[in-house]
Amino acid sequence: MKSKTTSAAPDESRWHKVYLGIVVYLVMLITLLWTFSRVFNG
Amino acid sequence: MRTLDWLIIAAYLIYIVWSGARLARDSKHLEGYFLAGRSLPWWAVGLSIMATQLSAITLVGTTGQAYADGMRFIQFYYGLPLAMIVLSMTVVPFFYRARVFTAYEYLEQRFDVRVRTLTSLCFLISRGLGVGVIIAAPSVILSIVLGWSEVVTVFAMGLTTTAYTMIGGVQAVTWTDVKQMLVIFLGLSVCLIVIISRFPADVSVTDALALAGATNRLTTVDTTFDLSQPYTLWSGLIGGFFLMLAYFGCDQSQVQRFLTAKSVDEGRTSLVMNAFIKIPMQFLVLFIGVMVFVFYQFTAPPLNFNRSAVTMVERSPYAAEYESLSAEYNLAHERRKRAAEDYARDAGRTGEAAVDGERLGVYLEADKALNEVRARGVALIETASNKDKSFNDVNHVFPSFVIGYMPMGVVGLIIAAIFAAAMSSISAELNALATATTIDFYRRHYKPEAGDAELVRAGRVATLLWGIFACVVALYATSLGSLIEVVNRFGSFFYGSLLGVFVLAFGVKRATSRGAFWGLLCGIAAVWVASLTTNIAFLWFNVVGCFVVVVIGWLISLTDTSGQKPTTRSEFAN
Repeated sequence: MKSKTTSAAPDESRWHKVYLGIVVYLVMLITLLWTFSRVFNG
Repeated sequence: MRTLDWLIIAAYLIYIVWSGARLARDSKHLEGYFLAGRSLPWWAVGLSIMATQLSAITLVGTTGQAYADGMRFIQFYYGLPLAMIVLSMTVVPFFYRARVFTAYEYLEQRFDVRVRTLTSLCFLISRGLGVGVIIAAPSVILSIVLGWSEVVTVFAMGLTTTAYTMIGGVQAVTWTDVKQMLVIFLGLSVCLIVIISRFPADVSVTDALALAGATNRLTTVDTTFDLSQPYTLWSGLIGGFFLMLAYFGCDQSQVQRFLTAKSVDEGRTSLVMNAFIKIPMQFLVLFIGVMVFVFYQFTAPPLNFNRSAVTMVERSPYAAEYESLSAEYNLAHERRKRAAEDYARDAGRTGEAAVDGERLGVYLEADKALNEVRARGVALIETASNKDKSFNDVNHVFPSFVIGYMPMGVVGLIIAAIFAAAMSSISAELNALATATTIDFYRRHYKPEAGDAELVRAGRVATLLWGIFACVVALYATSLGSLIEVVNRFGSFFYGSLLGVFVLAFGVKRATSRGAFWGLLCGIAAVWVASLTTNIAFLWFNVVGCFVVVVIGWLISLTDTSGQKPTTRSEFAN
């Protein structure tokens, strides 16, 4: 099968924004889950 | 189980095998069979990554764990999004641009053939045994729940999966993974809706949460720093981070998933998709377990969920004692049910803290009394079985609940989802084992001149042989409960150490092949010693293994006089 790979160089600065978004998302998610525990756990 | 349920399970199995096998036409060439011609979209790769990680024992075991212990297991996944970032930045572009078939092939480009062969061998041994366990664990549970023999459940899962993986290659693995993830999502969503609809009419979801919270089952963040505790914020963020780096970045069963993506960007996007979805999905699985716990506040649970354990004790000299305990357990449940109704219906709404506190106290007292009777039941089963730990019932909570209380059709759908979770993991593992066998051993050491057709044939034979081997291991493992634990522990010896070799490859310019080779052996030995001499939780083994390999490998590389030049800056960047 012929490879359909694209050879364009990825846009690193765009990816850095995505990675920052993941970190922010993780912090928000843990905070949300911590609040969830605090509210319902007695 | 009624006719409609059987029809759903049969239709699922037939459809999956057919839809996987028909992709054989796209798998005649080497890149097509092992890497889908590097042509798959990010969403299919992302779903395949999730399906590979979510095995049946994860699905069934974590719901049971949430029932018994609450949601603290979710912390295991907190390091995953961070690991996805590091892998997107390093491993994906490195492997993709090196145009490799296996992660270990890259190590020959960076170090030498010894390091490649040793790491690939570590993978084959640990995963070869591991896939047997992946088949064995749900087979035991399904055989008890469905009333089939273990041989039937092992071969229903193992051979059907081997068939479509062998014929269709990685295309079949990925596209069936996508369909299997949809079955799992559908099954879980319907299951949650049905459980909540089965609560008494005047018990809302908020009341259910109040009950679960009263017994600390909604703990999702534990900031205690204790190395012996398996699930805390720190073990998840640090130990989990290293485990996920090792699993997604060094294990061929996962690396092969993102190597099939259309481009580096598509491969990265598939990992980013996991970074966003994995924790909420695991929350859903655990939340179902907690809701099953709430359901059993109002419906009498069995003293023990493992039917084979109950049958064993009922046929033993302890039968009368067990029957008396069951009666005591039912009375304790009635008391807890009344206390739960009183507490749940007015939780926080009486306006009087003293009344709420008193009702909570009564409920917790009744829950404690019930758990004491249950613990005595477990102890009696252990005595009757001569301390056989395979009679543990945590993994039986969810399947026995599904069979007992889900409506017709939904039972079939959820059992199909359990099959889907098992088969999606098994297929990816078999495909990865066959790829490493064919590329790292058959082509590298035996037939370097072999053409595409011969290598695809070799890949199919390797898939078949690994499938048969996995079924044999599974049949053996089902009769020896403790073997499952041994195999899992054995696998954990390699993960951190393999990660250490890749850290040396990607991050240490001076690292030489001798440093990587001996560093890996020292890392495996260090984890083995740590497991024997300390009581640290298993997630920390990955940190220990990785650290030892990097430090020893780096020190040996510094003193290496074998003649291998350190990688130049430009070689390293490429």
